[in-house]
Amino acid sequence: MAIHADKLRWLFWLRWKMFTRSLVRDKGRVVGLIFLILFGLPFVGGFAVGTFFAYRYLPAPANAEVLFLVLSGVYLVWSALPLLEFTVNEGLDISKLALFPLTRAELMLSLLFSTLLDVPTLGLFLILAAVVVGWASAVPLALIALLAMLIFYVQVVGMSQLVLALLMRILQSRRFRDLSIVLLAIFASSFYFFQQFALRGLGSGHFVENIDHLSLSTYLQWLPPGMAARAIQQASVGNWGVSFAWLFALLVMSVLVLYLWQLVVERGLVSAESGGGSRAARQRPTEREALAGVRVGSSATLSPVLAIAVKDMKYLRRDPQQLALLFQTMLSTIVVLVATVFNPSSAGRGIGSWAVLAAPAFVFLSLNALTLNMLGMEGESLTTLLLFPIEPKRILWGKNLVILALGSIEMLLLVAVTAFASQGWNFVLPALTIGFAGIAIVLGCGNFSSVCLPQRRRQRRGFQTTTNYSSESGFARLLLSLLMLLVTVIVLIPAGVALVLPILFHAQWFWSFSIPLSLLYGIAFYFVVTALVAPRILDKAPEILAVVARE
Amino acid sequence: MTTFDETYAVVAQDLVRTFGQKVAVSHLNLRVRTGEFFGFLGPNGAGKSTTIKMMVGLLRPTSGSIWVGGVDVWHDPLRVRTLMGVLPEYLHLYERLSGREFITFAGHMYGVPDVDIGRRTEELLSVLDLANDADKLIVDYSVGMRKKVALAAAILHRPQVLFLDEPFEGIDPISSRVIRDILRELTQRGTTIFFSSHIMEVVERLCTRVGIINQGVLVAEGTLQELRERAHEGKDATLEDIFLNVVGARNGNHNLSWLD
Repeated sequence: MAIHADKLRWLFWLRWKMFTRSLVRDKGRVVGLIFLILFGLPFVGGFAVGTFFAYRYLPAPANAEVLFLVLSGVYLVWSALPLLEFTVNEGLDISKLALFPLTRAELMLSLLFSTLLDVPTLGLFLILAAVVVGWASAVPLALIALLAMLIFYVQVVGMSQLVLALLMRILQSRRFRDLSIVLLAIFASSFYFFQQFALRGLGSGHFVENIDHLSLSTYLQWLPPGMAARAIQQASVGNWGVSFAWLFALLVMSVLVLYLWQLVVERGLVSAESGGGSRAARQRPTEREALAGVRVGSSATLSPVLAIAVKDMKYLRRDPQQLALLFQTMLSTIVVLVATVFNPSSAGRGIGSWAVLAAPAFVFLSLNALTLNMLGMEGESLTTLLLFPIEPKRILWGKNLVILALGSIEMLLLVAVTAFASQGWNFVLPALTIGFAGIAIVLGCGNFSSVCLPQRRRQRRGFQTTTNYSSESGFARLLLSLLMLLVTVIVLIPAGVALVLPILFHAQWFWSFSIPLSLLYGIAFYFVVTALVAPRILDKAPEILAVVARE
Repeated sequence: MTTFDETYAVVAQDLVRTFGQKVAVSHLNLRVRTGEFFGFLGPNGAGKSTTIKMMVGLLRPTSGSIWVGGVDVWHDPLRVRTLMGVLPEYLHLYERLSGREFITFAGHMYGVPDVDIGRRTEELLSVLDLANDADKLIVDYSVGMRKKVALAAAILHRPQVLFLDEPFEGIDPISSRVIRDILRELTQRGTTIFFSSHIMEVVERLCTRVGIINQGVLVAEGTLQELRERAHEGKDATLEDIFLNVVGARNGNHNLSWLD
């Protein structure tokens, strides 16, 4: 199998160019890289130092168990990395490289070398270096550890690339991209729970005993990372023969992985030219029937307002970014609710009836995120929407209708649960009335910010954000959302006063006047603001499009 | 011009658009008669798409005026939108709607009666050979399919004036033929079509009049015969010959020395 060094050099050049160009053209990547170097690498470095001390100073077999866990974890993360953070790197795209006369070996070697340009590889080196240094109590042991880690590195990279090559078509599919955005939102939102779980596990004070009792090495040794760990552990107790046997097993596994990778790369080369042609017009009958149902229903009697609302509802379900945003806003409400109602520390004394009245506030907070940039959330499709002869206020009404529906469901749920937990059923009606007044105010403020301060929506791609996103624009975006939140809170004050003052003065009978008045205030605010800002959508259409849908 | 002459469907008067120092469109004056099939030609970056964007109200002119169907585009934007259909160069469709859903949605936006929306949508899907893929999301469509869906949405309400920016790009010959037939029928029934294209054969076959823009300036306008005469080309000269002559890209040595 011929390997031309010149071609390898140029393939590496291609990868380097793609890497540097992506940094030049996308400021978000530069910011991401800086954050990764400033925070990610020190974190991994700290982890590596921690594992070094564990290998060195924990009593056997706990230190070996840690080694098994660390290597297995690294192996798992690196194999799953393409699933979590997959981006089509043009420099590595086999379908593009297939145009040139490159051998499999050249392709594989170039892919292997290109991993050196990935920042996470530096983190991997740190962890593997900690293994070598941590177990290097004598020169022969250091050499065995070094050899084991070299083979393990090839194994890790080979497996990662094998997974990538195997799943390339799935990873490039729209459905996976959509799913990855939603999954990452769930992952990010679940971080709080994970943090609580991890801290409790570490803080239990029986870490070493727990590790010993687990004895995971018995099972993990049959996997490649376990083989590397077992080789080092056996060498550390002087069983050199057994150690070399495990090392040999690891080598065989690595060769096998490389061989499989090569097969998949070859298959990729053969099918690259015919990729993507065969999946047209395949659709499950049930899905087809369901959509046909939507069609029949939607073509009945839809006014433009309702048509926009129906379209937005479909988008909330089908657009992963909107689904992720919706999930995040709802999740924060649910977490707050669960923490308040079912918190063990407050279980004995329960919660006060005031919680029923406070519940709508969480709805306002979550709706605020959805209303802030409604035109911006249209993305480039706003061009199409603004070409239709539809009155601007109807565009806003259609969008508001969806958010009103979501907010109403959320509020009914929250108020019902808090009323049930506190037995404060007498507060339900005032809470709901004030809630609807508040939603009207939030929608009015949202219409103002969406029309007068539109922003280009961020395109999320895995952990990265693409297009027009820099630290500066990110800061401006944050500032704007805080400012609009402040404005919304100020406008909400009269409605809040109408609710709270009668309680403070023990004159709840006054609610029969103050609460309907606050509802009127909310509705009037909504209609006045919407009527004032809506014409601007048409008047300033080019300017809004220049911000939201730049080509 | 302060009063509108009804014989013209599109009028651009002294239209200028600058981007910083660059003048994209310079003092463009253009009149397209009602029912005319007007071809708008020009090399890449000549200002075709910029002009069309200004005509449909997506880009504010630096100066000048535009009337479509007798309505000032920038004074009564809502009314002008009811009169026209637009197929832009970059299609920003609702990708998470299916083709059928998008066309239906467009029908509601244009205020087409509910009964007609369903019937017209099905007919358009069938004629444009999209019926089998009508329930797939647009995000999964090919470029040609997107163009066809966008065209269907643009003509569903029977617009008075249809603006098409590169409508035949990425379209297969069969669909191209179908679209040509649809456009011809539209003009026969009184629709004015203003379209830009790079495909000279199509422009030559379809257009009743042609305008050529180069570096933001309208350098020629007229019927094919008029352009031939003005460019001093013979009666057998093709539109491509005229175009190359007018934009000054006719001569030059394009041979590769290393092919000898």
